[in-house]
Amino acid sequence: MSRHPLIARIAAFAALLRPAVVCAIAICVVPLVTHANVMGPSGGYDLDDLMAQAQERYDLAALDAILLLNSLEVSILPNGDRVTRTHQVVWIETEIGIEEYTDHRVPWNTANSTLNVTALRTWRDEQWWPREPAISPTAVVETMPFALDRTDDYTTMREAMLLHDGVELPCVVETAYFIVEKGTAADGADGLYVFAHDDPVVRSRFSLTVPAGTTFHMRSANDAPQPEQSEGGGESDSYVWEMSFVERLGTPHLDDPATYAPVVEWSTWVDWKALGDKITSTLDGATLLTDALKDSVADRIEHEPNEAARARAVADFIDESTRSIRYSDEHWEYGPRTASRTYETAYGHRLDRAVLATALFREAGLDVRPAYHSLSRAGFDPVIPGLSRFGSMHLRLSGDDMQTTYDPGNGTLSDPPDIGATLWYPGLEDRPTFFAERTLRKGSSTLELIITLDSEEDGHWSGSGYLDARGILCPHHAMVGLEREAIGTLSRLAESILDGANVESYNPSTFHRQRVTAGFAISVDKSEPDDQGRTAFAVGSPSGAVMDNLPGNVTLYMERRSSPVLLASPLTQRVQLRIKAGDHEVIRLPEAREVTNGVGSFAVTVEEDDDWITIERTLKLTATTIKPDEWPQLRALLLEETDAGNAAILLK
Amino acid sequence: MHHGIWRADVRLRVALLVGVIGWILAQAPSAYAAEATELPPGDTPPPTVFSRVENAGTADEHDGAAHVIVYDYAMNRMKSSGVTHVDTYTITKVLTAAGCRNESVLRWGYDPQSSHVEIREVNVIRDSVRIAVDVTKVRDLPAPQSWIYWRDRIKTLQLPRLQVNDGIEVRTFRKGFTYALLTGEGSAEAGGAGSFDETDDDARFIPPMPGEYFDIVLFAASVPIVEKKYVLTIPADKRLHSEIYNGPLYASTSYSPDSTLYAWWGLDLPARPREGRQPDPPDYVTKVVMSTAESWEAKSRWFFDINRDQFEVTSAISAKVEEILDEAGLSNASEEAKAELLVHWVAQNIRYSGQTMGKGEGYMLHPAPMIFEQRSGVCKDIAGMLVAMMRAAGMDSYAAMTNAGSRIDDLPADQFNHCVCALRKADGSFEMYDPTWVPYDNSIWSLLEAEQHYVIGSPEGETLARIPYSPPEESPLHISHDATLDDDGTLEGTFKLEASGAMDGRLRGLLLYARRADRTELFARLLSSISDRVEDVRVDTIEPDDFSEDIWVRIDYRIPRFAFPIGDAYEFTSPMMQVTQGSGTLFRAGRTRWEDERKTDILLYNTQLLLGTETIRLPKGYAVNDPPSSDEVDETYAYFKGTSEMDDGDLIINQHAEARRRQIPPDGFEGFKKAMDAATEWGEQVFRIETGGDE
Repeated sequence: MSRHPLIARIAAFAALLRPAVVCAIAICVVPLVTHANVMGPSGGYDLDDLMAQAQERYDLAALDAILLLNSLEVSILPNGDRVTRTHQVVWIETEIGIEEYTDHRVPWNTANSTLNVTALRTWRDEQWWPREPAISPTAVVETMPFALDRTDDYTTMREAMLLHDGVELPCVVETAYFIVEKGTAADGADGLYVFAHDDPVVRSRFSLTVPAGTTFHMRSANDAPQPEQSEGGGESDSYVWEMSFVERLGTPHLDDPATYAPVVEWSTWVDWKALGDKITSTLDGATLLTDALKDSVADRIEHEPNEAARARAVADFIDESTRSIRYSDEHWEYGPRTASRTYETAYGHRLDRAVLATALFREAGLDVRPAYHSLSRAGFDPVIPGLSRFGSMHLRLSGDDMQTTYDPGNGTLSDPPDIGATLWYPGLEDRPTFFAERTLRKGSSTLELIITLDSEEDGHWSGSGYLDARGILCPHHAMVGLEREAIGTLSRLAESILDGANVESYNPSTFHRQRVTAGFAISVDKSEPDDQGRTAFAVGSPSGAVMDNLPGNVTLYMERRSSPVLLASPLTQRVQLRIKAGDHEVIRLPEAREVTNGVGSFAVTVEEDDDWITIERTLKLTATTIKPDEWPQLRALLLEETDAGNAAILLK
Repeated sequence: MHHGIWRADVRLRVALLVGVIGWILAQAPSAYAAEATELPPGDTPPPTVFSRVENAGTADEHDGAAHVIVYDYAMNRMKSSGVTHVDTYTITKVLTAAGCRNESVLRWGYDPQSSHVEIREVNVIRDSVRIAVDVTKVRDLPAPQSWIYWRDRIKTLQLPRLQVNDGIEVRTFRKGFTYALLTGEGSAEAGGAGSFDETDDDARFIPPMPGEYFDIVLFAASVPIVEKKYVLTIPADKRLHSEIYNGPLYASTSYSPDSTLYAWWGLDLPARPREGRQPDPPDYVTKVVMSTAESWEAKSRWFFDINRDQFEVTSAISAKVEEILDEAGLSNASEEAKAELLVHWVAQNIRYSGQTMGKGEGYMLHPAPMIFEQRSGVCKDIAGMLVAMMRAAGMDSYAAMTNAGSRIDDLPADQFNHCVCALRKADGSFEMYDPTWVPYDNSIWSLLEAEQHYVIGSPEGETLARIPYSPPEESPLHISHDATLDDDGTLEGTFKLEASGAMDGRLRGLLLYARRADRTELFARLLSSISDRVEDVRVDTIEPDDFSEDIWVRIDYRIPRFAFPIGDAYEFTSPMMQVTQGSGTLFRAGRTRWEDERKTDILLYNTQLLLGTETIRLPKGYAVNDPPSSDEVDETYAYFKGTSEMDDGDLIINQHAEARRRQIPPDGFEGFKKAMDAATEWGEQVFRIETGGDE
């Protein structure tokens, strides 16, 4: 006897959802069966036992919160639906605990998803709140994302607010919900689970369920456990990763925690090519332009002299005509609007602006490809096909005489060296390329700057300079252009070394993406003497060099850190300043100093030869992964680089 | 009987006639213009939507504005019940490509529980063509919400692709009322579904004070306005208080047998100035405040009556109050001590997160038992919880309305955005408590709210009152720094910060920025304004929720190579000055980089006294020759003086700064800035120590 198709589908769904459904039922049942003064079981865990373990393991007075349970379950159904279930039970003790765990904002797209909240309660005074019903009817509130309140086409998005009743410190809050997304995993899906959190976790659990026989990729890294396969009832395969007593995620946080924290990467994409095909077909399928829009592009580029200028004109046109909506486009993944619709409505999130840009840049005669850069500038080995460890989509533009990258979110064009990162151009490459696989000439990135100055009669200084920069420190991307890009870049560089410096002219001898060498003429304005009649020169850190290429999470005042520092490349900078003191009395010069340690070195040398003073500062960072216990060594070098004592020259 | 009916009929007809005439007058230009052929010399034809758009100017004529409001007209018709019907007519002109981009979607907000908005007509005006936009495409959606989750809604409408110089013509119909408390952006917009019928039952739109009307109308926006007109008709038996503030407007009053018609309008209104640390716009833009409420006392009685039943003291609440007092050993303490304990309990345990209670939301306080169970609410609910808990402890407490961050002009309109608690003392006077503003603040009323107006809801009726001025001495930050400078330039020492009043709350707030485990890094960051070389940082402080004493923080540290060596001498700037000048928490007025001129007030929220003493034990034999001092700057709104001296091998540096008012008018800005500049310069003062100086 055959069953109604709908009933069959529901049964199959239930079988695949078994862990989630069991958890949901358990949560709903808990208040009815538990003793008055115990939290009882939830999601298959004894919450009182987890709390007891937390009390035994941690000094509660030193913590803000402890996640007794942090669980994420992902189920891929045969029909391509994806079910994501989140379950969190947290003991909180401070205001930070309240802010992080009591009021949750959960995004979901009503166009293709449903949200079901199964637990939202607080354990305090030996009972759960609210007492009846299990979830307060006013505690789940449907809201519109703030970024989308003037975007008609995106207003299927919601952010559900899940508000906990009864919170009084200390207490335990439990939150559980699941989201069913229709068909979003039909061609493939991928994800990442980081076991650590901002607060310690007693039990951290990830589970993945796929239709039986599905080939999928998975990888545990950074001491994450291997999965245990659980019963799938013949129609599905389930895998569970679980860790106990996971310490706080290292700080400062890195853009890609998978580079250092216990993590599981997974993917149901057949391979990178399948994912790449999906991305390119998504873009290409939506790029049809109206004739009017084609005419607009033609008008904008009509008088532009080369491809770079045309690219700039089109980028400006996109910015002028469409608002950039700052909201994650993952909720519309692989489902963009057409280019014409984005233009017509005058707004677009990153993906939609990427589609519009693809169409317009192509109309301007440029080759356009989607581009992905790894979140970490140090890159990663692309084993698991998926986008979790990449940043948002960019576009790679190229023509006969140019190559650049367009950011659809902020409309910028840039072409920084691609050293270090893992890069992927779907459509051009079948899989991403890791830095380690690229050819980097000379091994590391270097910048050498030599400035020679002589004093003039009117009090200002003039002389010459020489720049040789390679690899990631190469300023080619900033210098290329039709206006004052090159001289502007060199002026900024000179000004960063000496206050009041200007570059008046320059000439390059080598000028390509991996290396720039150039000579330039420099002048330095006369500076006002201080109240003791002294004129100060400070040999500052060169702009665009080592200090500007450190990750944003490097803060020098921190004595310790528990996350690594990841660099794209070994870095070396050398700055030599030669000054002819002439009639000036030398009041102060930096002292010679050298620091060498396990991650690099810093040296400053000073020579006085007749009227000439030569100061040379060299900073070398030889390691690219600086572990937390090596941070004091890196900090020591960087503090030397930024120390005013190593930089100041006083003349009178 | 018949006579009465007749009179009512006549009144209705006249009222309708007045409304219709008003509407026709407002719209007449467009109808008339089409037929006007000959005009006397010098006369111009009445404006049409096309002429208004055409004559509205260009971006260059409006300081580069992306769009301009060409005409903003509102016809408000109040019924005896207080229900008000509002017809609005607006024309906007887009002046730039950015304007076309930014104005592509129209948006209206409303609360479906108490208001209704109907989008009746939208057109794009392009040259001489009116392009109709299909208003059946209006979307009705949940509004963005944060902290307050009352299920407000928005309506949106996508426009066709706009072109530079297009006009956008919009007609809406609204009705409903404005929240008495927690108003978001001036008047709440009324609204509802597109099929609204004016003959529907208006009961849900009757305002909280039935039969009364109020509004606060701002005659300025973020972009220039060419013309704005606000018209109000009220029944003849109603009386209206009204006043124009912050600038001139045109106004008129007329009447018919059954109604009085008021109108205010302004022409060529510039965009609202945008400057840092401004008060709310009603404090400085031209506005009309109006109300039919008889007096503040009437409003006070209304507020008391409507919330009379919201403070039920349940056995659970009584037990909790007893427990709190008992645990603190204050069961038999003075009323003042009990009240202080309770305000802190409520502040710390009723978090700001407001769920809806449905009918009455916005102006009624949630029932105390509900809030006690939820442990969360908005200001009115938090205040209500304190009222109930005080009553449970035998005190005579009341809810009160106030306006945080903005003044209340003396006209009994609902100029309120905040709710607090008042305790009537034995002598009949009131003490004010604000649990919403004192989480992690050792005050019963935050001094960020000094000089704030309020109206207490009481059965007798209270008038508008004001919190007294709080001088800087009530919000001091004392910073002491004792350090030793080694002969290798290493500085090692201890900072101690002690704060009271508003500064107590600010310093406690600093502790909330970091997890307990990261507190050392938090203060290392504070000291990084001296040097990134800071190390061996150790912090001792009270917990931010310990109200047994005012906040203090002790920070021990070391900074190698702090002093800058020059030959046999060292040079450095004051570490204490780097810390206070580098922190918006410790000295907001000093930290802010002020512009050279101001058009609007500065709102600092609190006055502040900053007293700092720094003692640096110098290496043996070193001293500062002729220790410097700053000029003394003693102005109406601020003060600064810095001094230094040598004392037996110690370099002693002092600073004394005062921000003397929480709100500083533009004409006081120059003197205020002079004092703040003096503080900045004192922070940049270089101290040179050398051997052989004056020890």
